Amino acid sequence: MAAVEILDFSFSYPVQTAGSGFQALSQVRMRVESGSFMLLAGMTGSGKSTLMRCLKAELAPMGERSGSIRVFGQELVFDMAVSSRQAADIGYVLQDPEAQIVMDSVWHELAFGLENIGASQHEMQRRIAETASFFGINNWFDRKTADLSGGQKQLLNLASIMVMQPRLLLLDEPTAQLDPLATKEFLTALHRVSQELGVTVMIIEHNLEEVAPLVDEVAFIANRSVAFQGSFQGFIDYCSRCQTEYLPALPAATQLAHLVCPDSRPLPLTVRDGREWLFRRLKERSNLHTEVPADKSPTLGPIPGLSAASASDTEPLLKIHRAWFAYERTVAPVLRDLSLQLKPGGIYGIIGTNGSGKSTLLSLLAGIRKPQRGNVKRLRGLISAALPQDPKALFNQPTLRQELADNGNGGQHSDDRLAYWLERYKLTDMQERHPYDLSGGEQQKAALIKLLLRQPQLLLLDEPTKGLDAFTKADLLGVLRGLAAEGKSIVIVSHDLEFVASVADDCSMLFNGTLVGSGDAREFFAGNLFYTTAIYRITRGLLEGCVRLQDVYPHVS
Amino acid sequence: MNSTHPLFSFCYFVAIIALTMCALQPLIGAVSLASALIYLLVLKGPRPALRMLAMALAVILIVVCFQMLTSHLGNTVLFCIGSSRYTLEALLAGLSMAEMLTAVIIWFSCYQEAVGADRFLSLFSRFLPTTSMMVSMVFNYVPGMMRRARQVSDAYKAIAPSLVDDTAADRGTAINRRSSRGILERLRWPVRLSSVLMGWSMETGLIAAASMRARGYGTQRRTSYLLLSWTFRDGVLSAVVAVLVAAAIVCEVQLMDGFGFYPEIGSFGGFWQYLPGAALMCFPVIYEGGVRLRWRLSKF
Repeated sequence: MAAVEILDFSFSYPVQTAGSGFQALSQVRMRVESGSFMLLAGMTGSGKSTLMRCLKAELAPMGERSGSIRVFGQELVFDMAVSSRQAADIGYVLQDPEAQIVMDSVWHELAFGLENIGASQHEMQRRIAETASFFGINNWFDRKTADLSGGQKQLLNLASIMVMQPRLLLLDEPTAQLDPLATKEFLTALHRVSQELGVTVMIIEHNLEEVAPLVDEVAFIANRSVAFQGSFQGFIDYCSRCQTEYLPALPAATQLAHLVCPDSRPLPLTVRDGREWLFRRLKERSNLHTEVPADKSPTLGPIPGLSAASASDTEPLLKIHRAWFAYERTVAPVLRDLSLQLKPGGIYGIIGTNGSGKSTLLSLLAGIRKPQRGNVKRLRGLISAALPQDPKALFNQPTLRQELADNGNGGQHSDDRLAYWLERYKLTDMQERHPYDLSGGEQQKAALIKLLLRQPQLLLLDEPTKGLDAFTKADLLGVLRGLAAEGKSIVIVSHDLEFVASVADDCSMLFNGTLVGSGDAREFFAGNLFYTTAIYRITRGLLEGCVRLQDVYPHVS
Repeated sequence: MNSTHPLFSFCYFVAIIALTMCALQPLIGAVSLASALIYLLVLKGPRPALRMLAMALAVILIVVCFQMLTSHLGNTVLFCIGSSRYTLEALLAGLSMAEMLTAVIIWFSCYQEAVGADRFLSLFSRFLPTTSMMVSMVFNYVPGMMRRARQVSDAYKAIAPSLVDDTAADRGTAINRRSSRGILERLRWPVRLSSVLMGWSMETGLIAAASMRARGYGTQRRTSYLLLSWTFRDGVLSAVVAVLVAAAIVCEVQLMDGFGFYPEIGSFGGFWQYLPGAALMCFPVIYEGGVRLRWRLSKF
């Protein structure tokens, strides 16, 4: 039985919004089998979110619609006074974990949907009890929603949809704002929903590394329509033939395998399969050509431009000496006896799990907070600028242009400098838009320009890849490398290991309040076993010194 | 009080606070203050109770001094300074006022701990589902707003410290600089903060609205999910408390009838007339003690 049947569905936005009316979807035909786990993929702005919103009548955007959408055999009703039956049948989880939560306590949030559809008290108690137990929420059932972690919030959002017993679950980038651990937990719960309850799932997700092994089917949206629909292996095939620009979004194992041997099928999706695949491939190759065994390939050389000697004689930009920091006297300190010297030039990555104190350390570097013990010495006249985790914390003007021109002290930045940065980051066409109407990546760049106009020597970035897809990350990587090449010093704190591995020159891990394992980024990641990149976990012991995908090139050519 | 039905707890606190506020008499005040402090000790532990006690003593000292300095009525002169007479009557009047004030404050903080806003509101969710939902939304919204405000202020401190913090701009500059900062300039940060927050909150508000609609908000009349139900025990407790309240009211009326501060302190009445009030005010402590004792005993 088909859960969703879309027949020749077209949708255009009205003329008033976003400058011009345009057709977002045209002649979409799609069929989703009941109980399947479908990934809705596409490039940024391809209309996949529009399509998903059109499946949830209550959230469908205003505009011109034609064609038909049937959900479980019933034509979708696009009426503002939609039936509560339809609202319960189709669940929708949005991206922002916090903004979706409406009530102040966990139990009330779970009850919210059931109260809306007029369930009886008896019914509610039973459903809430079973849902809370299924998702392991019973341990924090009486907590306030404001005190939950991001991962718990998103799990609660999923649970408070599931309590309404939907038959179709739609998720629009549900893990974009979560850290890697919370992402895994969320997707595990989602997988259970699909496997154990047989709920049909459609998900838009950029984190294919984690999602790919769960997916039954992929639909790729391109040119306002469904360009591909089929299995994940078929999708890889399709990408390598017609959508090579989408390849960077695929799991690391797939990318690696595609790079080493593009014609091999099936390509691996997980680290384990990737290792096995690579092992077999290398064995075949050494049998055929009697090549040098892979583990004798040259070891890491020093990274040019960052030799230890040249770094040691320059004066550090910033020096933290044995700093201790606690938010409250009675609470355990976040940073303990932390020392750090920041040499000018290059990109320095600080990685660590959530709650390890990364953001606190960054606020010490930025001068927002002062340590209770120890000191922070800044080079005289050092201008630093920090990019907040959420760029929205900076925006307060009606258009991007005004936003960036405003220098925060009542004055204006000069037009030509503004024009230069807008041009350089390809935002010139967007300058009359409201900053909130930009995509996540564009907002990030806009905030970055706001900082760069202050001409800082030191840029401090807090979790810069949060909510960004693979392509936007690649773009940001280029932006940061470009700035570093011009002599800016950059510090990134992040839990995105893949990004830090590919962008940073030096790296440290923040653990238990101090920095451990400081050193060259490639050596750092090649020295770790768990806390390292997927590429390294796949190639460890098979290809020497491969931390990033580009490190693999010399081994295959 | 935190394991009973909120309706019972709420009515109990209303009765206690009303009885305390209606009796401007030093002994009733002392009974109320003492029981409130003991209950706070039971609820929150020694530290907050001691802090409250210190606060109460300070308030009593200040109010008593003020009353004695300003009111020279009364016949029992304690001492004279110059031509001013300082009387026992004024001292006791001040003491009563201070006791009443501090007792009410402490009862309120006990109420906060034992009942709290959300348990109180759950009372109304059946009759006023929309209002109680909105209040719950506000309680959820405020911490999020505070966190966003902190993020905004951190973000701006990192790029424009002089905008956020007046003192940062003044540090190291001449003192006359401070006075030269006009009102407009001083207002720049609050204006900026609220405008950033406003935009951001509207954005999150849109998402919240989508999330509400996605879960069928507005499709029909809401029902309500209540965690609490009225038990037999609540009935028994209510009956006991009702009897005590009635007795306490009768006694208090009698006590207050024969009492006045000026020109001379009136009659304090009989010892037994304080018993119902004292029993009522110690009720939560006794109840809590009973619960704990039973728990202890059940372990053997």
